[in-house]
Amino acid sequence: MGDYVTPGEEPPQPGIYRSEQMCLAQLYLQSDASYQCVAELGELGLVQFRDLNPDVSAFQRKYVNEVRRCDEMERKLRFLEHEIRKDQIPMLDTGENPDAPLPREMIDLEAKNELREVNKNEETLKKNFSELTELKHILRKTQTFFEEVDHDRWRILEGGSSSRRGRSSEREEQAPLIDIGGDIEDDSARLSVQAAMLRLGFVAGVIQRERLPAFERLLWRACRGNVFLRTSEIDDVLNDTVTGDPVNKCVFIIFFQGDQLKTKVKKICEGFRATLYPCPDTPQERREMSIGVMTRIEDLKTVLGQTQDHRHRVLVAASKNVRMWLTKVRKIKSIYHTLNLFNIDVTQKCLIAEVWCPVAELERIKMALKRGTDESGSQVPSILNRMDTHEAPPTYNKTNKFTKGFQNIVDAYGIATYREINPAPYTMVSFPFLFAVMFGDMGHGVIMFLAALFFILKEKQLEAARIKDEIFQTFFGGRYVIFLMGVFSIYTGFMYNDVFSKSINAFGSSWSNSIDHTTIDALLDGGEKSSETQLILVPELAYDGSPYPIGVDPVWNLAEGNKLSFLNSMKMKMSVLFGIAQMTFGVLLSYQNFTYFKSDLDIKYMFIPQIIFLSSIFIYLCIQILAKWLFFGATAGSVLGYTYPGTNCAPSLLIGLINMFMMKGRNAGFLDERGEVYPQCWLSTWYPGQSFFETIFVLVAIACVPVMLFGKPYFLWKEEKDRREGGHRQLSVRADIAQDDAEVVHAPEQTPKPAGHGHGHGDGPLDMGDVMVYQAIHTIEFVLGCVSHTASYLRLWALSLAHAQLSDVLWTMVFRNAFVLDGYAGAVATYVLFFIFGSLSVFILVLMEGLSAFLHALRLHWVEFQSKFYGGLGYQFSPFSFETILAEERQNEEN
Amino acid sequence: MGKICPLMGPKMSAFCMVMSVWGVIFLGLLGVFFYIQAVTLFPDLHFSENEQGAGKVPTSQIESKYNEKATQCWIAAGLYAVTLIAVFWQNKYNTTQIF
Repeated sequence: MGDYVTPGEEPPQPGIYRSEQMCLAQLYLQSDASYQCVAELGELGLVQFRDLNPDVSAFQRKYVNEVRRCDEMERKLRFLEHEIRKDQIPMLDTGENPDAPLPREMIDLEAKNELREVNKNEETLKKNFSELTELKHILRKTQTFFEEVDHDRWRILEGGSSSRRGRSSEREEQAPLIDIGGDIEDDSARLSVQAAMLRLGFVAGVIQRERLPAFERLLWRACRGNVFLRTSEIDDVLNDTVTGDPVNKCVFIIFFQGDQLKTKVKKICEGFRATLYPCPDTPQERREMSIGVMTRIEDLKTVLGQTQDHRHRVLVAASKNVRMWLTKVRKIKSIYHTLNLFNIDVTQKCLIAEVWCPVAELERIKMALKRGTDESGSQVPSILNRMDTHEAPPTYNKTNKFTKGFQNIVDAYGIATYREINPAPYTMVSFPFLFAVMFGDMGHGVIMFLAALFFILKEKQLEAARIKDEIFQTFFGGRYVIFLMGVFSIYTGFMYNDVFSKSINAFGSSWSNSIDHTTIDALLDGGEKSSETQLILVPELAYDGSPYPIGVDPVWNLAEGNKLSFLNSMKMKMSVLFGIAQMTFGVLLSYQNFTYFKSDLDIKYMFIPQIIFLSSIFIYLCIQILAKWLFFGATAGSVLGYTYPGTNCAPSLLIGLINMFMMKGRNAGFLDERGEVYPQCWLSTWYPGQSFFETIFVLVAIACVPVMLFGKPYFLWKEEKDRREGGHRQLSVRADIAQDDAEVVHAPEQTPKPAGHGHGHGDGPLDMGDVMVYQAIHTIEFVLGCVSHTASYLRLWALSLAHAQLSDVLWTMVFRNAFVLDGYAGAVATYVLFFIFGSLSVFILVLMEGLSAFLHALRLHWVEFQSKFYGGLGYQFSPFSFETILAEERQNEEN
Repeated sequence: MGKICPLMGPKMSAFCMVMSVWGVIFLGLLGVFFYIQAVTLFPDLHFSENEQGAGKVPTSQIESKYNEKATQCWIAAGLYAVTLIAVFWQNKYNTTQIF
């Protein structure tokens, strides 16, 4: 077993087949230059920083204060943005990308933030204003209350009981405020009540309208009915003093007697968040106060207007820059965040960082560092120093907007192990193809193709439109995948000769009518009983011998009787061929992996037995399928050395495969010695020596299983044993004569141990149990997988059948009805039914069926294809890049 | 543009526009295929009881049926062209309302 190549010594590979070569490097940055350097690296977006102080909590790091300041600044800017949006000022969002600003620019930004004060001022003013308005309302309303009371008081004092009789006839609004004396008969008692009433105290205030009923009830209960509440609704909608939301309020005035009740009432008012306002006793004072309040309100209005103007000006000025400021602050924040990951040198003069970076980009990284150092005016250059490591580097696959969709499909299953074969380039071809095999219809393919084409052509506009709809984003993100799926669907639809379940006779069918007209006439004239008999085109007569140039002959579309039996047989065999081809390709890719990682054991005891197993059973089956297609036609003749009597003797492959495993004795050829056809001639062997070869194949396949199972563990065990013995041999005992002790010296290990890939040949002692279990799982998975995965590929046939049938049903059950009617009614029916047919085609056949075919294609790639070679044990390279950070922030903002 | 008959929103009108364009093309082509008497469309022809008569339908009748269906498709295609104009106007009207 060879060891791993150290990174950098291998020949460069084209980027897409494997992940980029990565290296671990140390950066030594001058304290002064570090900020600029990190900013440059952030613009470049090609290095991943490692956290060098994972034990230090977030609050103990060096640049905590700066990060906190940025956070605060960001919060303020977000508030500013919120305010701008509230005032409906259009924001200038050019999406431009300013360079990361110098740290001192942060101070400028902080200085700019005068909005807060403006806001604060405005808030106080607004609060004042609404308080004054409330007071105004109170004064106005209480005035009426008091007037009523006064009027009443006069009446009580003057009219006495004489007014009582007339009072009942008074209108409701003129009813006295305080109904006293109703039950009191004698004058002296009434007088005392009057005296008491004159000593009544009162409080006035404002309360929210919805709180009023509860307030009233509580007052009644708590004061046992000894207070009197009078309310009046304020017609204007007031603004809440604190939040500024519009609220409906009520003015209330409470009359009571004595200090005890006064404290009680005040407490209740407090509890209901009612605002109490001082209200003078005499009408004179009230009037004066009212005038005073009015003038103050006028003054405040002007001040408020000016403040709002000022605020608007500030916001308009800010709206031009706020997005850019936000971008800048986010950049600064991310830089300090990154600086927090650094190690600080003992001398405090330099920061040390460890980074993962792609080897191919080292030059650009060095250039960026140089730029950063120059900009900061530092004399000492920043140093990048490559380090050796046993850690598995992150996986970095370069993508562009086309390959991204496919790489995402692969990554969703698992990130590739470092430098493992990347399935994405193969997926780009096989994924749309397998999808299209299940979705074969030219018409639906064209719909899909045009939709994706629209997305691709309008790419820029649609991206700028920032449509938040998740479903739309999914389709838009996968536009290149959908585009290819559409193109491939058109191709497979062409091969299946299906356009909305109709066929096109582009090259002229190879079949012609072989039945003479008298037979047809007889059948047609026969009436009832003849409608059940079907005429058959005999292939020997009707088929002209040369097949339809490409795809399925259109005549099958009209063959109501045996269209499905023909298409099923063809599609089923085709699925097996595609499936086994893809699985074999997967196993071949595993060879690429094994050679790359130089693990001979895997090649010898995994790859070779696997490929032999696959060939002797499944590839043999494929060859049988092709042979049957090629040699067993409709005409009798001599095929592969045997006399072939006709289609009824075409070999049955499935039962043949079962018989191959059972090693059952079979007739050789289709005819016995006397020249008669065997009964069940389709079960006979159909080429000389078939039984012999098949027995060999089965035995070889069975023999491969123990090799896969025990080969690798045995050699690992043997190697381990050798190593241990060798290790003992390399020990030397150096006995010092002068001293008593003897020291044992281990000869230094010659080969550095590989890290990562492979099992049981890492560091440490070999755990035979683990290796055996692992190997057993893999072997069983492969052997059983070959069978079950081949069966799994039959979904290609099943879904394609389902799709074709569904579109056929849509045509015959829906659209065909349009042609039943004649004349103009028929035209209108066509118009209406086409709309239904079209909508159903798009929503059911293209969207739903497309989704299901997509999922099945996904499964075939993840399980059936990638299980043959793909480890997927790596972790994603996530470089420090302003672009991704800003995009993420923006996404967070929008959600 | 004034408020004249706002029937559908921008999404609905866009969908109808796509459907109408498709309708014009699809039905136009289908008419052509009926006109050239494509065999694959034969199952779509419908013969009533008295047309079918005593079993065998004369060739001339089949041909006239093909022609009739072709015209029918073209009329429907024409209707979709009219729809397209109407929907296009709706769409334009609605978009001007939005911006």
